[in-house]
Amino acid sequence: MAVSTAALPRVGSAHPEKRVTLAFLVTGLLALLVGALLGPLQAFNYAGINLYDDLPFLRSYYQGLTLHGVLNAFVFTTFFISGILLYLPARELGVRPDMTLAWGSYAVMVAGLVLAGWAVLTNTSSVLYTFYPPLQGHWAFYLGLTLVVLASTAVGFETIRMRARWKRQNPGRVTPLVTYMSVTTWLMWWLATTGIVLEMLFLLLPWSFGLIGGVDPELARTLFWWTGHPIVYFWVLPAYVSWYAFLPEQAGGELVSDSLARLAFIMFLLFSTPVGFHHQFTDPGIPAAWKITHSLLTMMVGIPSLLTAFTVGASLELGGRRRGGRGLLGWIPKLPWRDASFTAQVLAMISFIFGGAGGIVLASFNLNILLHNTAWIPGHFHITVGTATTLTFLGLTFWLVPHLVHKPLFAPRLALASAWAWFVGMMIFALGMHWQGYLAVPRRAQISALSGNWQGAYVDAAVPMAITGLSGAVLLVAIVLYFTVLFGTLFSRRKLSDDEVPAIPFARAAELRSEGILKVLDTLRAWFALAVLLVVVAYAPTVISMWLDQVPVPGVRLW
Amino acid sequence: MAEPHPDNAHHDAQHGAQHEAIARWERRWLNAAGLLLVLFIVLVAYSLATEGGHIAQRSGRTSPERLSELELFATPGVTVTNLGAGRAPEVQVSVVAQSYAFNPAEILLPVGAVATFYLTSRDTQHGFQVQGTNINVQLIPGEISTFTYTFRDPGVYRVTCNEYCGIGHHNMLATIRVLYPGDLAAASAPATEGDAAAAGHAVGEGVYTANCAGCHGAAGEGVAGAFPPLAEGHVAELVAAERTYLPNVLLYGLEGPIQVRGTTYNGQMPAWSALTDEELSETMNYLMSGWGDDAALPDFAPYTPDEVAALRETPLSAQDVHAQRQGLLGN
Repeated sequence: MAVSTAALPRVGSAHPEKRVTLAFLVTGLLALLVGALLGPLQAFNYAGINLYDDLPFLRSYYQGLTLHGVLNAFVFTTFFISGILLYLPARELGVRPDMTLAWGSYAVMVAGLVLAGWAVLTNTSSVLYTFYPPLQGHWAFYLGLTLVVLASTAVGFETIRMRARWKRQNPGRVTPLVTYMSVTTWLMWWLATTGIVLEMLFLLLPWSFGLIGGVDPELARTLFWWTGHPIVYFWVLPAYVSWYAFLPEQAGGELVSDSLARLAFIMFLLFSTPVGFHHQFTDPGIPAAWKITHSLLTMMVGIPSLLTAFTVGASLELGGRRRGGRGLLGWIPKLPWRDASFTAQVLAMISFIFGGAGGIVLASFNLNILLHNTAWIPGHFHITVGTATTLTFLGLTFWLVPHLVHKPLFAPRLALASAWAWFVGMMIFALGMHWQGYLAVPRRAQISALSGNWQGAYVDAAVPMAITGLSGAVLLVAIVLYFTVLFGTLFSRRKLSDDEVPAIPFARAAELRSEGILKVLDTLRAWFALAVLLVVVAYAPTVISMWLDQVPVPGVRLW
Repeated sequence: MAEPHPDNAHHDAQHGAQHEAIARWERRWLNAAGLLLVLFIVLVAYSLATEGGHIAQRSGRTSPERLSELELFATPGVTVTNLGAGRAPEVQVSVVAQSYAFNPAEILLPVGAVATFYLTSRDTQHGFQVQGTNINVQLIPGEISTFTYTFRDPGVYRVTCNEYCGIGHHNMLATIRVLYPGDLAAASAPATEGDAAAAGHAVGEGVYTANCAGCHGAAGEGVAGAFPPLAEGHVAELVAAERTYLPNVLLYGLEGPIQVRGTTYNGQMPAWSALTDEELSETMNYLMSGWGDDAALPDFAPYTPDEVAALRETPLSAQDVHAQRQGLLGN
């Protein structure tokens, strides 16, 4: 597949990494298509409308929910991020990735997707996205997910190696920004995935193969959330890459501070992982002192996001003023709102303001107890990963797919409409779900199929339930619009000439701090070591004592 | 291709002033962000100090198979330790969760009682969240959670399982009724009117509604593919073929696909051995009488608690019960 084209001049067609990137992106987006189409059914369920039991190809609401969660939050994100965080640094550095490793990782990831997808579609593994034991799925489900994770870490390995090669060729120079952000994200992901890899290799895989009779559910939960929280930063940091590195250019301005962008990513490297207990505040098996420690560390992760809000906001303002905007807010209407890629990403950022605020609520030890496992949680993550990340990625594809396939964007006005519909739909969904959660309606429950004696149990939440149902209809429109644009672009018969192909919109940095600060921030090995140390301090005492005091519980299949 | 040129920063006077302004606001913003987070942390600490105490803690560990050996969980429910002693009553509440029911399904508490809860799960993970309170606990097999809470307002509180526990998860609810002591006595007194059979019927119906209806349906109609119907004479057929099968299913569960009138059902039946002999026998009698199955088997003699007790002597696995099922009804 990777024909050697090194002798050709550096034009678009001379980049074999474009094809592997396109493969990662399109596979991820197809997973999103299937996963997202199930979403409105979930929204209707929360309006008391039960359509699941009429579907011929799914056995239950919970099978559909497993598919929705795994395909959207796990498969789509991992494929898409592997594609862009390999490609963008490669182009920034002018370095070619090892194509064998890139295609090999893609093949392993697809194999993982096929295994896990088969397990879910045959209803052997309706264990939901969190797959908490002792609910026991098929071994193919666990093996498939493990392969997807390991393949993504291999892509990260290649990106880190590309930076090392560039460093050797450019001694003394500071890593360019996109590469810096990508490598930091991959280092964070390595640290984050340790938890789930331990859970898979030592607990779930041997258990599902029948080698051990049971697993300790509390230990498994703890290892899951070791990965399960930082995975949200693995989703959101690639969006930050685009907000910092491309959006200022798309807005007609420049990035106001290169060094603050780097500082934010270093803070994410340090504080993303040692925070997982804030998903386990209601767990009996974790001492309160450690829960509070993780709660405080979670608050620390708020800082780089607030930094980002300032830096990106100021960069956009700079763009609006360069386009002739005057006065306090006069720069806002001057921004390129007709540009679907720009608008999608700004709407994604707006959703993240609310998502971040809701996240601070969840991180707060005692507020969390009111909301743990309620409908608030899906409300929260649909405006973080479901909009801040996903809508940014959709916005990226509006220039990236034409850039990769050398074809024009199909129906740019439909693209713009799809971005607005996604944003509006998700904001309505979030309103309904946060509100229901506040009224103690549980998350991921088929409340549209309550049995006779419990009918009316949630009648106090009728208004937010109706709001959630409305969002399902809006989001269905958004999905149809977006995928019309995507397939229209991919299958377009028009070819762009080389000078029409959109370039990667790398933004200039307006301001630089002293070289000294950049050099300190560029010592990624040292920062990574510090991050490892923080994770060891935050996790080792609890995980070791759990490991030594296990109460294994046999598996059950209850679907 | 626009490669980044970080070294080519603009340096004309206007841009210089702009960047100084940005840097100034940036410092203010950072300070404000830091202050905001400190404020949040202080508020969390303050409310923990003033209203803490209901946060779930580990009370102990036990393997779920050995739950019944613990006095606390042998007969789950409410123990009032000093009602009417002139101070706030103290109450101990033990709850065992199992897909898809809490035992007990209704918790009666005196208003103002200082209630200490002990909760655990017999099978998989569950949640225990009480509407309108900040009670929210993860129930994990192997872990016993405890917390203390005082219900100051009388009323009916909805309890939901908020952790996915299988196909009937959404129907796993319970109620807490907080009553004045006089009402409490009336509500907890056993029914005295009517004959013993009617009382037994009420017990069976209560157990069925709380524990079984979530999957098998309020009228025993079942769910295609997962949970077999109990009405339409199916229970009568089973009882006629082998009287010990029905109590065995209830006591030990069932694992594996079964056929009922040409349809395959493959949902897992949990073991209900935690219920008492009387509850189990009355539940089976309710299955026979609730939807007219007894019409198909006129000489049916109601199950007795002793029959259930006898079957407890020879423990079976869910697979053993499946094997027994395969020998019945010719499939």
